[in-house]
Amino acid sequence: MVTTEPTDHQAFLSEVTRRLRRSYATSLAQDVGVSAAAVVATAAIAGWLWAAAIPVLLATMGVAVCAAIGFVAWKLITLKPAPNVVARLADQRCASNDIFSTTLIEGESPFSQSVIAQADRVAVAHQPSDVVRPHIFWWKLLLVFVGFAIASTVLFVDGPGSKARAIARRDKATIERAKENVRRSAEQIKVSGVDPLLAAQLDQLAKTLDRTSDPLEAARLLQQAALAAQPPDSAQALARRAAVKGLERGLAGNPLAPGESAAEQFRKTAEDLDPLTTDLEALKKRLEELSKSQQSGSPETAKALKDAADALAASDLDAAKQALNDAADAQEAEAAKASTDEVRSEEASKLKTEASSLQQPPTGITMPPGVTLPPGVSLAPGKTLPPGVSLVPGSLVPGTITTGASTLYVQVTGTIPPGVSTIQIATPPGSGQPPGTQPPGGQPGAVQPGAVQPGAGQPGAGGNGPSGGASGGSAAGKGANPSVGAPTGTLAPTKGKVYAPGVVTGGGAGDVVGAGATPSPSGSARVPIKDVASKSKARADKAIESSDLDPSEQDVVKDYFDSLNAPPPPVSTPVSTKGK
Amino acid sequence: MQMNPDDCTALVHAIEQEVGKVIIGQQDLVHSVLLCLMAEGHALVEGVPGLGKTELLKALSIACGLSSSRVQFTPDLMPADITGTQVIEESSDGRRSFVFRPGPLFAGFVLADEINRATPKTQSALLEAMAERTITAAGATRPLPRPFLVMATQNPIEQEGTYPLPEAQLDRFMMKALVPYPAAGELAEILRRTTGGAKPTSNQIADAESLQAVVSMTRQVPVADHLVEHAVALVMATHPTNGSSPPRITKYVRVGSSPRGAQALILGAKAEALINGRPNVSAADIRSVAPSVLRHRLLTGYEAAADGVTTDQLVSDVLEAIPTPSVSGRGI
Repeated sequence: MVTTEPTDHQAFLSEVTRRLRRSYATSLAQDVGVSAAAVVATAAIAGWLWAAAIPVLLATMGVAVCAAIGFVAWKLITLKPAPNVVARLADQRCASNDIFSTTLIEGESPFSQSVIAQADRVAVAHQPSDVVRPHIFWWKLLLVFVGFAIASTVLFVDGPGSKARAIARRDKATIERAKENVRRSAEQIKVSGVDPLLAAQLDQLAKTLDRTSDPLEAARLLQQAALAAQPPDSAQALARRAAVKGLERGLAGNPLAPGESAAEQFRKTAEDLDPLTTDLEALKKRLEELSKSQQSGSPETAKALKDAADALAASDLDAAKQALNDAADAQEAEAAKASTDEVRSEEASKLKTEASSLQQPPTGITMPPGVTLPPGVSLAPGKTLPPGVSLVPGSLVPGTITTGASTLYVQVTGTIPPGVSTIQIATPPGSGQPPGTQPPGGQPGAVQPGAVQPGAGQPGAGGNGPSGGASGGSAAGKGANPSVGAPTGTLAPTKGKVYAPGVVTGGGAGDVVGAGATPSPSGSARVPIKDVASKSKARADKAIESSDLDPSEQDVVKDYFDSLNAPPPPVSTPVSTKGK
Repeated sequence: MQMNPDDCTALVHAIEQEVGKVIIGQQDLVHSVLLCLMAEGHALVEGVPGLGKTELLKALSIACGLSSSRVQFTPDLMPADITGTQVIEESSDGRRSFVFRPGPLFAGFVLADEINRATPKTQSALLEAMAERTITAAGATRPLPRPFLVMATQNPIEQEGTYPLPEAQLDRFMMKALVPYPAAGELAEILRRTTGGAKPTSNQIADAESLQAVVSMTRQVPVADHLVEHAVALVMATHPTNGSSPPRITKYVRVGSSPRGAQALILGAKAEALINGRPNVSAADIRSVAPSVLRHRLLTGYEAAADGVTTDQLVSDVLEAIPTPSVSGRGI
């Protein structure tokens, strides 16, 4: 019963068709939305709990949402309700005795007009909204809302995952910054040409840092690089620097001959040396003075100057010229060495600073309330203990101490009895231990919390391996080159293993850790500082006296050597324990 | 004769009203017979004697202007007694020849009273007449007048000495109508009308031509496809081997409805729609005629008789198992 003119019932059915599509899409969107919200909420919670899975979970969330939207859109586009379905639905909802379905019958019959007329009457008497009503299921919408609310809430609430993410981001940024600094330094040194070897080492370090994601490992690498960059003998370097600078400054104020540098003046003096025009006696005296001033800092320069003075005394001008030229060469060499030492010292200082910035408290450590961290205390792998701090062999062995900037972490094995709030670790002076003799693997310290007496030198900590995961001293340490461990757990008095940040106080005239015949990681041999401090101080004093250093610079040198001779105070590690 | 649907409806209502002058109550019976008349089917009426079955046929034949005959079926009734037979007839010139004398089936309305008392042979004589609307006798096939309606009656209580109608015979009946005992008020009215001096009669308001137009119009009532499928589903559900059959069908029914039953469903629904003045068949039409159409087409086993399960109950089960077709799905 197809008619050519659109009738009321046809318009009615068309509107019903449109509404049916919308209703279908609405209903589908609600169902799919519930599923998508469930997936998103689950993924968000999983990401909140497990940071490592965030990329996968984000992808899952994205796929879920996109698939939901795409599926609904695709259905909305492709869905075309069959006319008979629409007609039957209209019949069903309008109670029209199947009149709309009958209008779809093709062919003419005596009833055609009656059927159409009847269908039109029914269409006029009803609204399309009577046939298709929006299917809004509030409980489904509520579920969708709850799902996305959970996901949104999780985004703004710090969880285990977000904390780990923040730490990972911070670590990554720190390592990246350190790497950039190292690379920049390498470039500058390479351009200056002062120390190509150091530049190459720093380049290599930057590449190594590129492959490192563990901040503690990066700190270890930086510490190693700092040791490698450190001039082998600081006292000698200082003396050389003082001598070179003093000579340059002295000759600048009272030049021997025209010339910008001491070496140029020596060469000009040799060139202009003439018995007829030169006051040989005065020159001889001047050279002797200069020789004396260079004896401690630049022995070779001093010797050449002395030879020149002697040659002048013997009226051997050729020898004097040769000696002056030698003095110029020696001065240039010393100046170059001083410059290299200065660059290395600066670079070592920078690397140490970078290492310190990476040595944050290990992840998983919960700081007990009331524990104060001493300012300025730094004990990192590859470094020596602060002056005056020494360890009893077998007590605090390398690998049992994990350190961060200004923090000393001590792993305590055993149960801390109730009432004990402080554990002190005493370090008797003069009991250094050579790193080369340290057995691999930390020995668990037999800690008796509360029974440990200050100053008794009792071990206060068990070992902790370089991997950071072992506890109780069972992990393998590296002896002379302990790496930073990562103890985990919180301070719990009733547990067998307690990790607590301690406080290192004091710092007297103790031994350098690892002092002995064993080569240090940098390759240079080390001796106890008490054996060399006095000698170095005497050499420094002498160099200062014979140089033209500013008083402020002289004070710096003096303070440094005085600090080496200061008496060692005891090291105590107060540990505040919760609930004691 | 040209009639529009409304004229047909009006005519049928007029016939119904005219019959109602004679028959008190029994609206369902009258309605079923009228549906059979419109759909050109036959009606099997089951009821105790004295409920007005013969009167109904008489009133209907008068109102419709059609001839009627009544055949009392007895065990000794022979097929020729109802179809007609050849007799020797002598002409005025003394010549003798065989002449066919039509039996009572050659009428518009035939009342086969107590049809189950005749032998199967005689019962079967009705088959051709009911299905083909022709009678073959003495080597010649003769058409029956149109419309042609057989209304057979059965007495449900006196089963001794009867011959239950065979399935093939039952299937020829479009509907099986049950004649209930009249209500007290109806019975009082019957008494008042039939025991007085004037006997109520109906008037002719139709003729064969107009009735044939109604029959033709009935067949043209449109039926939507899903309603045809619904009728098929109902019929299929009467089969015990069908998966959608209700449990009692599976248990008690031996043979379900034939395709002729499905045809009767649709035709009955069309007649129902037309008689109700609607231009199309609805699901309600199909379901309303389903009990009358299907009840005699379900052949039940002895278990049903033992458990007291009637075919009406089984048809109800089918209607319950196959609900009115509806559209469902997402967004609806």
